[in-house]
Amino acid sequence: MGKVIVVTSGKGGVGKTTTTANVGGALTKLGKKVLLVDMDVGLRNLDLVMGLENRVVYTFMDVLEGRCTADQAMVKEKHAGGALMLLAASQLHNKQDLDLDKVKEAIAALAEEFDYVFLDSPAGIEHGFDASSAPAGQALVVVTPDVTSVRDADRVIGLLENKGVRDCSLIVNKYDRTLIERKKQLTSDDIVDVLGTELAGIVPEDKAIIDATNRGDILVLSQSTPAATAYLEIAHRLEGDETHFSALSTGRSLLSIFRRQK
Amino acid sequence: MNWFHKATNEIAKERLTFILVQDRSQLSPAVMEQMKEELVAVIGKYFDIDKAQIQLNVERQEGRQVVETSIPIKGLRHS
Repeated sequence: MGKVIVVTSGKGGVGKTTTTANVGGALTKLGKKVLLVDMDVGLRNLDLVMGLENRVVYTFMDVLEGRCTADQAMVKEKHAGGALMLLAASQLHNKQDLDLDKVKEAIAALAEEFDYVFLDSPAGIEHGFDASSAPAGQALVVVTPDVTSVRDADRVIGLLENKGVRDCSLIVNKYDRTLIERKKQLTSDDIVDVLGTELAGIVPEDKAIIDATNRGDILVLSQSTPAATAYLEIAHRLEGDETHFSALSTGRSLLSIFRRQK
Repeated sequence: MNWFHKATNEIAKERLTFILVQDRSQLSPAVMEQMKEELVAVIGKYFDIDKAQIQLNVERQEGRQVVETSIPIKGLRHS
């Protein structure tokens, strides 16, 4: 039985979908079989980030409502040799149409076939978030170093705890070392301190992400940039390996140490 | 507190710490004040306390919410 992990944040625009695609992609580099499920019914985007928008025929909703099998609905990512699959969200339904019991049952069945199942939650704390967190045993909370994002993350972590998802960890996204050095941005230590939740990773601000998304490539599967390195570190940490946070190190020397270790 | 000279990341952290106590406790500032008053009334029966320095926090520790109060004592009440 694979791990079922919800990727969530409360606030929109912090990078949930990009994180889902890249952490999933990074795990395939460690030899894992990974399924990504877009839970943002009505506003799907994971297919676009992965460059699979033209290959989606059936959606997760079709699976839930019995119009097709999961195997028919899953779409294979282009570069991971079948190790990375997508279940897209329906654009023709509302989030309310997700039946929690059916979602749980379907995800539990899929978790038998994969090492990891990631549920890419919609923004907000309403039904879409409920449906994404109900099947999850673990949560990755994506947060940017802004007061608004940290506040929303705190709310989401509280709600996840109430639902029994106690294994929460943080991904601090869009980390800008220049701003940190000028004392103009919350540090990862500040965020961990305020939220009382452990860190799964720190992803630096990296323009290569924009290029990769424009092309429909998953960064970690196509390039070795600082953000790609950070996603690999998160994958290692999910696998229980100790790695350092390269986004915190100054200069290139530590980064190259990590690369040698691989 | 002088916010003009303070680095903005410190201001951000202070503001967050403050607002999260309210968010986590789901108590309004008025109810929070009332609770402080009641705490003062009870603890004040036994200790001479410094009311201005009372701190109340709601923190997350190992997946649980914990209420932490810090009430400085000026001296013992001698009955």
